[in-house]
Amino acid sequence: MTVIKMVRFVKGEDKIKEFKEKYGSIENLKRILDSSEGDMLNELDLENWEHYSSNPEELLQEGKTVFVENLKLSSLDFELLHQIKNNSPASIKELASLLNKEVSTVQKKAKCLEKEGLIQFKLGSKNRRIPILNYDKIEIPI
Amino acid sequence: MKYNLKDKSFIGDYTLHINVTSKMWAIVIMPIQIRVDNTHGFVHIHFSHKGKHHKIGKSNFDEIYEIIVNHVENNEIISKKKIWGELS
Repeated sequence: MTVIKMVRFVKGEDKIKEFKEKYGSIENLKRILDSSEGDMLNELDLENWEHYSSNPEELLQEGKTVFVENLKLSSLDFELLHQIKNNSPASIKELASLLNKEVSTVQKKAKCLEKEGLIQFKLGSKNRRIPILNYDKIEIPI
Repeated sequence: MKYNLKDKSFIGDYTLHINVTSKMWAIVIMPIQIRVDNTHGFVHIHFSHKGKHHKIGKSNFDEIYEIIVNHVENNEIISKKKIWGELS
């Protein structure tokens, strides 16, 4: 079992923008919390939204830790992560082109990284799957 | 520079969320919805969303985090009573 920690740094004001995208408004989040749909994670979001509204300059270190089994990261995987992070390709085809590799090879690698929680995909125009890496660094604690 | 902290860890069927700001901290275990935090001026545990709080004996964040991680790692099914006991 390998522990992989992904970390990013985000300013309070940017975190608020993310909350706005996710919930629309703080009133809407409060409504969700008052309804039966609300849970403890919504409560954490509300606490953070209120905190960063008063402290927009504060910096937040946001992390995600995943425990992966049998993950072998090759140099191509690292190159793939680097390209997604720094060149923001709009599709797997574009990513393959940046890496100068076959689309099928890159697709397979990307699927594996998605499964392990290292990257995500969002749906773009014409059903394109846009690879996303929202973190600034990946740590492997020993 | 001191950062605020927000972290999510996947341990078995559970997800552990930590949230630390300059004013408060909270640890949430999902999807079972257990929350330990230090709001209202003292450290306490909630066993459901909007559920009432129960005081615990431990107050140090690092110690509490370690107890919770060990509990989640060592118990396939989390026992609310047992985890409360370990934190008291």
